[in-house]
Amino acid sequence: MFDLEKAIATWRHQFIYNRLFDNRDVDELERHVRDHVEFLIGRGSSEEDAFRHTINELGEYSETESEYRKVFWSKLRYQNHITEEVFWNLSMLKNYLKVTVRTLARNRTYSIINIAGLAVGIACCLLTFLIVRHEMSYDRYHERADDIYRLNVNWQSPEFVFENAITSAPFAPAFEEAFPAIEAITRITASGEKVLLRNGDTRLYTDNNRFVYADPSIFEVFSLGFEGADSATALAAPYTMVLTRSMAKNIFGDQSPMGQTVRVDDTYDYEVTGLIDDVPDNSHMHFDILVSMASFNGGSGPTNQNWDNNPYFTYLLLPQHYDHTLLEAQFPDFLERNIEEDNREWMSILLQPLTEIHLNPKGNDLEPSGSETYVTILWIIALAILTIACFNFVNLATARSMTRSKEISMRKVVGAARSQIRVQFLTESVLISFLATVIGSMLTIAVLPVVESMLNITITPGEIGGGLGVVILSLVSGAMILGIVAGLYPAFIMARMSPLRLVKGPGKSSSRGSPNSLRSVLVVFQFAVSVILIIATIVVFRQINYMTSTDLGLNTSQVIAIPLRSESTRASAPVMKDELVRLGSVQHAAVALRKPGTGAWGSEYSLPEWDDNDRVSMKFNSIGYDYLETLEIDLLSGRFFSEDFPSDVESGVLINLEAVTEFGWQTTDEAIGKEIKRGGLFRTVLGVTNNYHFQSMSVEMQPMVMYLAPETSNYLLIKTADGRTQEAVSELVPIWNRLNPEWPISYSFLDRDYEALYEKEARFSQMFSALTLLALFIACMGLFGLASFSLESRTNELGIRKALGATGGNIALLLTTDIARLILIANFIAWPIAYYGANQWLQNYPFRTDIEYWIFGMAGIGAVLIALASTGWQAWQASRTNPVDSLRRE
Amino acid sequence: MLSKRLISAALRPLILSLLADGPKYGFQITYSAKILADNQVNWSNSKLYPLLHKLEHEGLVEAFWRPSKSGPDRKYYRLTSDGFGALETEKSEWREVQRIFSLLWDGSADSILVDHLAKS
Repeated sequence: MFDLEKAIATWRHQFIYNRLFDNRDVDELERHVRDHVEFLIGRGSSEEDAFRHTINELGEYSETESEYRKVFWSKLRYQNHITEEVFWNLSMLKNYLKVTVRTLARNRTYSIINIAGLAVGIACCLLTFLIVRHEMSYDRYHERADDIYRLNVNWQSPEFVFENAITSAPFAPAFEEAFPAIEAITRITASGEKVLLRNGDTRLYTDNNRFVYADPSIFEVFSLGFEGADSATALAAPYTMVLTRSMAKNIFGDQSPMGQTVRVDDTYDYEVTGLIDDVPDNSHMHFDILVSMASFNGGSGPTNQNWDNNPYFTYLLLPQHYDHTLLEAQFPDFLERNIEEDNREWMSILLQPLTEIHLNPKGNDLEPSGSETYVTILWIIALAILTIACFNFVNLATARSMTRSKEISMRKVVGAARSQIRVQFLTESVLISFLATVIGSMLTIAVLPVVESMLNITITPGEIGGGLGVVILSLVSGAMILGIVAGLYPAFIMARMSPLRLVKGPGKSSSRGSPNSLRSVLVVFQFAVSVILIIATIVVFRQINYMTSTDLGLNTSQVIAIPLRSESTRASAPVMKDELVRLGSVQHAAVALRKPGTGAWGSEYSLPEWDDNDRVSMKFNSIGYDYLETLEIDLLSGRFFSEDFPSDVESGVLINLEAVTEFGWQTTDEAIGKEIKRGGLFRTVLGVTNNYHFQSMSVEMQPMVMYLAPETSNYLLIKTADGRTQEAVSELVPIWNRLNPEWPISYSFLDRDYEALYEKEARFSQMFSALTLLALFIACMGLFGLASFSLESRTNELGIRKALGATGGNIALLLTTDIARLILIANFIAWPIAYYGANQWLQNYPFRTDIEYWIFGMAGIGAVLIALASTGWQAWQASRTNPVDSLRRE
Repeated sequence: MLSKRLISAALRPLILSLLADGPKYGFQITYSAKILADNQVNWSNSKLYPLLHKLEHEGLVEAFWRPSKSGPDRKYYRLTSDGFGALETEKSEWREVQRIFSLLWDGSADSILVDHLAKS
């Protein structure tokens, strides 16, 4: 029997806990209902029909709520209740925070997985940010960094492109004359090898390339912190030098260095005319000593007429905000006026902004530099890790929705609006994000020294940009955004569900678009990223291993390289070689102009029968007797240089196999006795060696011509007997000191020099491995959390299965099959992407490892095993549970 | 039946006009509107009260309560002097709209446009 009063009371009840309606609003609505019902009854309707018709015309609750929401704040303003509302909202926020803290404390596993995962993700991003900022801060310390450009020479033909950082000497004076817009122009050129410095009893070597010749204008272009009488003239006269403060302290101690002299390479005395600051870590070039360009070439200065000799780095200072492309547009005319037509055919010159040099190095750059590709890859990985951590949050939050469904449905039943549920969940995720940001920041500070040492960099607070306030503000806003992004989906899902569905449990549906299917998609994404990273790590590791362990064509182990820096040390080399070989700890020794691993200079060669313009570019090296034995290089045809043939010095050469191909000879034997031409001089090919890598394997094998010229050698290479390297070192030091009392010995081991060539790749590999482990760890933590919630929700099902006879194995299989299926799908998605990425990266290397199929299988099986290991314990626990315990809960 | 879009646009002047001849409560306003529109107005009552409240907050109407025999009191609305002013503005605007549509639909718009072009 329909009871109108009861129906109206029930209808009215839905409004009473909603803050959008005050009592008078509900009274007004009820009055409307009663008036309408009375009107319809007066027209002959039954009470029930009249009520239903009225409610129908009044509209749905959500529609009414939405219309009242539009005028809610104007009502508060009208009633002067704004302050109360703000306080009410704040107290609700307090309530949300309280509930969040209780929830976090009650669900420790969930909290740890979420906070730790996000913290690690945030730490990865912060560290990457710091590394990227460091990489991008290079050379920015100069006051006018944005106005400084380096002049690069590009050689481009249909077959090759070579971007060269060095130029010839005449460019600078010719540019100064041709382009009045240039404010200042300066050249520098480095010594290359170490240089011996002496002041009284103090003797020390500089490091390689730290003794630099510079034009006096260097102080106009760069901000070096000059201290002295006059920066404009400090490097004007020959044999003047400016020292960094550290170098000055090393040489002179606490004495004032100004006006004092330093003897360089036991040959020239240089006068100290000024001091400069130590060059910061984030500079694309480092030096300890600047000496006047006029001292170059034994005091004769740069060869300003020679456009072919290219040892100079040329830097320009342009006016502020000057468009450098305007200058570049005039370069073709400049080349036409100054360079012969034959030489400029493939040549172009370009300006490279100073601040871009570090991440975009060109050929012949002095120092190992950064790479834009590596920085981009690092960013992608860090963001992928943060995404994996965010997905953990979304997954676990939606999975937990069923355990919190009662709480949410109670809130909804007592009048919580959707927006309030959303705010509650967002408050929770923002709080978790804040906690994770604090822990992530602390983690970053703790791990930073390890990363700095791994990458061999020093990150200074100045590089981060802004002050502490900006950093804190960025972190707070970052945490806020992260919390909102990660919490948005769960918040909307929970707010959207009806109280009825919440009580029934939202997680049981697995239809498309439901939280369950979304969870599967996110798990697949997480593991696809992890598998890509595993494959990438293996490929990078294999490539480094390939480069360091592949047969180089020469044997670098047990080879000691001693630089010969002066005429006297060169002259002592044959004596030293004889004495060392007699000792027994040394097998062979030979001198050479260039040390293997450091590359070689190039020149152009041709055959007598070729046209004058037909030339091939080849590398050359001067070597001494026993070179092949010392480095165990195979001789394929002919003979090596011999003291029995004195004419070898004047007319003989050896070439490598690659040179045979370049000259167009079919066999190595065919090359023997043939003449080759360089400039106007002819030499006869005496022998052909196998190819050997005289530089990094990141460079293609190049043709090589070897001359016999022991007197021009810069290195003595010593091959020690098996297991007697230490003994050889201890024996050679006194011999060296006796023969060269003025020159302290310095030496290196050739195999370590070669390893250093792959330092960049090795660091990249280390970073990659660390980030892969982190990504896997976070993904597994998420899986562990999901498995535990899945188990909780299936307790009764598992109890019934066991009661009906399922074995522990059946249960474990049931629980792990789903996970394994998802990981398998992740593999199928990851494999082609990983293959493409790895293949692209390997194209940078002319000598590269193969991407073999087993790598994919291994990564896939590895991911499945790791995933199963992280869920297996729970599956095993579930399989051992007594069905009675689980069913008793019902 | 008038579309919801048109009703939403016309609701404000309609309510102001209905209140011009004396105080009315919610159901009276709905009922009057329906009678006048010959039941061609099918509005959702959920919009009526929030709009009345908004007019009240804007000072165009004022509300007062009168006790009823059964159930809650009735809330009446009447126009304030600002409300009458707002109604006049609404009237002139809607009359202008009406004039434009009349010109367009009775065929005299073309001749006006031609005259205007000839003069310019």
